[in-house]
Amino acid sequence: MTKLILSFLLGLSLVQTASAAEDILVYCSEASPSTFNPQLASDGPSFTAAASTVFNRLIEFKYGTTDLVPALAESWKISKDGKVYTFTLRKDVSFHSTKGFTPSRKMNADDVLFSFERMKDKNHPYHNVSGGAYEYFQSLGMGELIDKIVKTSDHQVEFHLKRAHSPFLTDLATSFAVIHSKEYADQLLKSKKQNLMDIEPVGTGPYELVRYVKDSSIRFKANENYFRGVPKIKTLVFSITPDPSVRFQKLKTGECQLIAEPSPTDIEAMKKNPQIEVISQPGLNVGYMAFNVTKAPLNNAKVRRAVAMALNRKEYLKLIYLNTAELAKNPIPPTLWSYDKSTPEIPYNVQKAKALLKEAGYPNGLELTLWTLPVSRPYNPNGKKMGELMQADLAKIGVKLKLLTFDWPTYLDKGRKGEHQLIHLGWISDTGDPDNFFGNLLTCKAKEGGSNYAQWCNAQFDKEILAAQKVTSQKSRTAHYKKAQKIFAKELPWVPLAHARVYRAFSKKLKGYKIHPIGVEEFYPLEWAK
Amino acid sequence: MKGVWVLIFFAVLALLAPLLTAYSPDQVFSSHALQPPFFMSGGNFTHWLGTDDLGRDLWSRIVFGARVSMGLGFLIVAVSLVIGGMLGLLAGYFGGWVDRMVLRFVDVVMSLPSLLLAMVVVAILGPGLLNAVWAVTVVSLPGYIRILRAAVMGEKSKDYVKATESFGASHFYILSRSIGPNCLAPLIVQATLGFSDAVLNMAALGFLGLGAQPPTPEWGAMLSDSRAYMESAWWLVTLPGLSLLLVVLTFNLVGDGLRDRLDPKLRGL
Amino acid sequence: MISYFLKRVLQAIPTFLLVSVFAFGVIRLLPGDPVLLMLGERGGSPELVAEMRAQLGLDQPLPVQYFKFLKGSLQGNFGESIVSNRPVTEEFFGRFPATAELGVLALLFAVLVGIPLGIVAAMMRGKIWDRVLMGVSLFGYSMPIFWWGLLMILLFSVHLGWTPVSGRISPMYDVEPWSGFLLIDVWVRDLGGEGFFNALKYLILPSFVLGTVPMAAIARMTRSSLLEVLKEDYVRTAQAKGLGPFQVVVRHALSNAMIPIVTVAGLMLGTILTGAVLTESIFSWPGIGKWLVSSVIARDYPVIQGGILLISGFVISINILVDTLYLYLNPKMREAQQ
Repeated sequence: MTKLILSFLLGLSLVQTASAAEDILVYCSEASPSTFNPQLASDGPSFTAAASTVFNRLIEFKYGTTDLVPALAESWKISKDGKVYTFTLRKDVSFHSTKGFTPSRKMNADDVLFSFERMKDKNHPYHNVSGGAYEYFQSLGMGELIDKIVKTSDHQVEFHLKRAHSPFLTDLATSFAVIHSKEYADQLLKSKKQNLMDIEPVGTGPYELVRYVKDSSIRFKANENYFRGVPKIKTLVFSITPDPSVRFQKLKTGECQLIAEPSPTDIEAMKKNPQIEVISQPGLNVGYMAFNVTKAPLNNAKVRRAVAMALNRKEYLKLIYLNTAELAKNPIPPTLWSYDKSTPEIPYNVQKAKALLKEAGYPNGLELTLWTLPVSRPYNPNGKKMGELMQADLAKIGVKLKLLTFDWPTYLDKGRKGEHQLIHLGWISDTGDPDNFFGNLLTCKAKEGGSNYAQWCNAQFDKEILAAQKVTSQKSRTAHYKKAQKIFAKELPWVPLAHARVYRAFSKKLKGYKIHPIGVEEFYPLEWAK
Repeated sequence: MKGVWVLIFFAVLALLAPLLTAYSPDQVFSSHALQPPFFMSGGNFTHWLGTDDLGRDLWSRIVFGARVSMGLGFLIVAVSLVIGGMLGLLAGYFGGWVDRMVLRFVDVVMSLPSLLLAMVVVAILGPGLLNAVWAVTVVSLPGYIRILRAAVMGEKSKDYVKATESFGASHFYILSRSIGPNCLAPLIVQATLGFSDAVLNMAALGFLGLGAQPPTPEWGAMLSDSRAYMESAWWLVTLPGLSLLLVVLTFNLVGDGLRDRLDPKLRGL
Repeated sequence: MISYFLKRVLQAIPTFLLVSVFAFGVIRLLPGDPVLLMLGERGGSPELVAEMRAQLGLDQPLPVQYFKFLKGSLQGNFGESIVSNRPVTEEFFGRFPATAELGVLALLFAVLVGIPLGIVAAMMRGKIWDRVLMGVSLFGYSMPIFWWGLLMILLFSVHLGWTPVSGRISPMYDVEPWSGFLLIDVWVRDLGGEGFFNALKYLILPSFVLGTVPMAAIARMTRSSLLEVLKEDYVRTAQAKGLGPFQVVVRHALSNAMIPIVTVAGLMLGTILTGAVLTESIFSWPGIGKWLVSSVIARDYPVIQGGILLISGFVISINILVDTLYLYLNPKMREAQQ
């Protein structure tokens, strides 16, 4: 009976043939975005959902590279002392017309000022909207770096810096530095609906947000007035699918044509599938476990080293990354300039780890809590499993490890506040500048901004990183970064785990796809094979 | 009776777990990760049911999982039998405001779906095996309360109880000597069926990540872990689920049988 | 009947109040100050803490807090989710239709399949088919549905490719929510039969999985209550008059057996809501269940508080409706009431 009804209904459903509109792309994403305003975000899913779909920046990265190309700014100049950056804006850029907003003018200098003042000025009417935490802006120290932003004409803006800062241009090209519409903001302010700014975004980008159905899907339509030309794919849909194996199943059944972060367990099967294209390249990323160095006993470097030495990390490469990653010893990947090859490996040595723990005053072991990564990321495909392996490893030196996790936004939020002892995290570079790793993840400034999950603030280390930001020659910057890596290796605020290769899997019919080194997807360059 | 033998089989597994397994359920054999069961190519008898993605012996994990599930099921039934039984007894015997209060409690618990209520209790106490036990116990109380209350009320109106009362016997005496033993039959049935509910609820909490925490070899948690290997390693999904189904099925079968024997009136659901 | 209905509503009020005390207690039963817990060890400035306490109403005496909470709840204001900064009611009703649609279809499946199975078993009492059917329904009744769901996905979606793996409707269709029930909205949005069958295709496997346990329970109940009724005199009379077994069952016995069946179907609401939590987690179904699981994991207290009240209110109302229906179906009780 059951079977009968089932087959009856299924039979009917087969009548519905795929009336496949050829200009729709379904992307299986891995998590719900925490916001649609990239200024507030720091996680890949939120950036991918808004930064290069709905918005543009003044300068952007050329697709598939870390080269800078003009975007909303058609050209720029840097003063000789490296302190004044002058941007000339395009005159032909329109903001989206949405249900609630119709722009009356083109993008101009006011929009640029509005976008940065919101993050910089604590008294700005929009500063405290949606929580008012601009993690990226704060951890890059932009608020303190930028002296003032001046509108010199309708289409020219000057950024005055307090000091020369070599990575500034690449900073402006990263996902958070988007340009909002001031006109839209004013309209919302009048109707007292400021928070819509971050929920129903209006940008200049290739796609307009049509609808976000919570935990389910995000639908975009092409921006017919996009300044680089109309996107070839007219409808873009994110199907939010947290489970990587389900994403693969959906790719196989054609329910989506591009998937986020395929699980290493599925790579072999994907390569065998004639419908699926798999590409890979070494990633600008690092997976790590951070110690919260503000909490005893983790403020003791000996305890940190003991934990690091007790972890059989090579085993993790095999079991968690399925041989799709390399062992890490520095905070930056070996493909990045300034990587220090001479850093000694952290050996796996249970006896020495035990001895160190004893030296540190814990002969009978101790209890620690580890937060395991709740989402699958290339730098750590399975946080829970890794946690279990770490639990088993640490038990051998008498450390009782408790595992805990939260959903992704909460995890980041609580981690930022330093509620953890040990935490799994990782970083996918947005720029390909070493400062993007060191400056963002390990400086005192980043501790305040929140992305320094080790809560580590080391004066010597900080000195080197700041010095490297001031000089422009790559050679002298490298020298500073090598010194910084020595300090890192001695202090071990993290256990560096792995640098993963990045894989992407998509339908063979999809053309133009490249792995974007900065870890955020772009959809504008994609098209369907004829 | 039908099903009793299967029940005994699982009980033996649970009790003799360390004797029946060669490895600890947490021991990692990384070079043997995802080894299939013996009857498939690539399988052998060192890990006859295969291994999981970390290379832990699946047979060990299932056997120790039986220990976890059966042990906790037993604990939950025992605790809710005592607490629920007491409450039901008091409500049915004294009536009046005691009865009304207990009934309100039952109403409140019944107004929330059991798993949701258990989830909320876990939210207050924090995820963990013992907290999940409490949560499932709270959820299972109404069944015991209702049965005892109804039975006590039925017995109370019978002549022999009235007779003992007229002799001046104390409440406690009446409760323990006259009524208690007469309510035993429906309670035994409820306990048996309650056991399968308890096992299922614990596994569901484990599956949602709110119950047993790793590396405890709990069947529900094992299932949610193995989802990524659904296609490549079917035994990881199939075997823990099958064990769970068998245990629940057996207890339901035995419960049905007991009900038919002990109390034909209750036949039905 | 109306007076019965009103009586039940009145009776439900204290229960609902108790639930609200429980929900209110959730956030306060925690060891320590909930605001500090929310802010974490890093904490905030004393002003921020004070501001948050005021925002949650924690700076007032407990009874005042409770009545404010109760008043807000009655007006449909349950506060804002900590995770999304959006009102709890908005988040709840944004997801509720997905769960309701799944639940209704599951119940429909359970009734439409369960009752006929029970009838067949009752008519073949003691024969091999009776045993087979009852064996199957015992299996269904004992099924851990999260496992069952995984197996069904493996079979129907992955191996046979008959049903989609997850989601509610093909991304080809852009359905702007109207009622939130996709099976209805496709018509409102002019997507017609094609969209309807597409949505059905996504719905069929989850509702089959969710309906399995209720189906088995209803089949068992139908069989046993039919067997009871078949022993009664009037049925024997009907049989003596020479009516065939099928006619006896359908014309006479079934209408009387309906009473316990409706009761069981009503009781299945809890089973379905519990099952929805698991089914939604397996099928990535964007409904209440999945949302509550992640809220519990994230300790999003306003959501947990509001969720408890909204769901128990829903369950209590449905129970009253079912009981009233029961009264309507049962002439003897109807007379007794009058």
